[in-house]
Amino acid sequence: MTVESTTSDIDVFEIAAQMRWHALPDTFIVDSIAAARYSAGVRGLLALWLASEGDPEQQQEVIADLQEVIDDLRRSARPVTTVRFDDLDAIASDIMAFKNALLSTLDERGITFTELSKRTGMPVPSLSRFFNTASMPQRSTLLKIAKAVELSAVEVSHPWSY
Amino acid sequence: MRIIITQWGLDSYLDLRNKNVFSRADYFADIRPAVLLLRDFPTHEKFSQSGFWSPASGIGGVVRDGFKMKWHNIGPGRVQLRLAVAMFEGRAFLCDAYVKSDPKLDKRMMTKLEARLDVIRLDRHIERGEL
Repeated sequence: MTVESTTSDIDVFEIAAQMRWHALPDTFIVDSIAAARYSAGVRGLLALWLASEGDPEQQQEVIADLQEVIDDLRRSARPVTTVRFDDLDAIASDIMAFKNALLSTLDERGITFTELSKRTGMPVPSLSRFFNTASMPQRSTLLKIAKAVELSAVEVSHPWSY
Repeated sequence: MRIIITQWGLDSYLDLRNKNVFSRADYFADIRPAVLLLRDFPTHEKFSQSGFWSPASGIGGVVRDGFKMKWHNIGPGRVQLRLAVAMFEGRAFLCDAYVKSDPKLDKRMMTKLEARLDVIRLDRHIERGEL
């Protein structure tokens, strides 16, 4: 199938079927289709995902990109906190320490990314990006993980989550 | 032109610094001064230099209102650093920054910029300050 830049609704549904064949979480696929109605950029990412067939690494990165955009489009409240530049390096270290501790908890409980993906509905590439980058964690992501592994909201709270 | 630091830009800074892609000294010597030129967009001569600034091109072709700023051989790894910039309603939004390791990564990030622009137009983005 050829996917043009102006991906049509039919193309989107065909891509969704392909994603299901790739065993991506149903929640993610449904959210992607919904986001595609609002965003030409999302349709572009869907087209890029399909065009990257045979390149699993690229496809996984696109999946993580799509989840980011879905989360952005869904957000209702936005933080207004400003950050001091001189604090940024310490914040990055603190965030990575927090994520590594959370990852250790998952390891101790024998929960793999594949299992966490099933429990949260978040694609494995999104989880991988979440744990491997020093980006500020979204509270909605932390709460999904907490629910999936039976941690309390307090246990996944972080001063720079938003 | 106002220069807006988005959550995506801030997250990029945090991650690139955490991975030591560039130092604080690199930031103050090379990155920040270049970004501040956006205040004089589009009149400053640097914006006509393709080695410094170019329109974004994603899977669907040129991304409307999307651009990228470029640094060559920066940081201890002498990498190609890119900053995706969305220009919208007289403001420059600093979006994702990344190391251009190959052309397909660049294509993906520019396609992603198109989606970022949609989020900005829908006013769902997060602003963390101005430069």
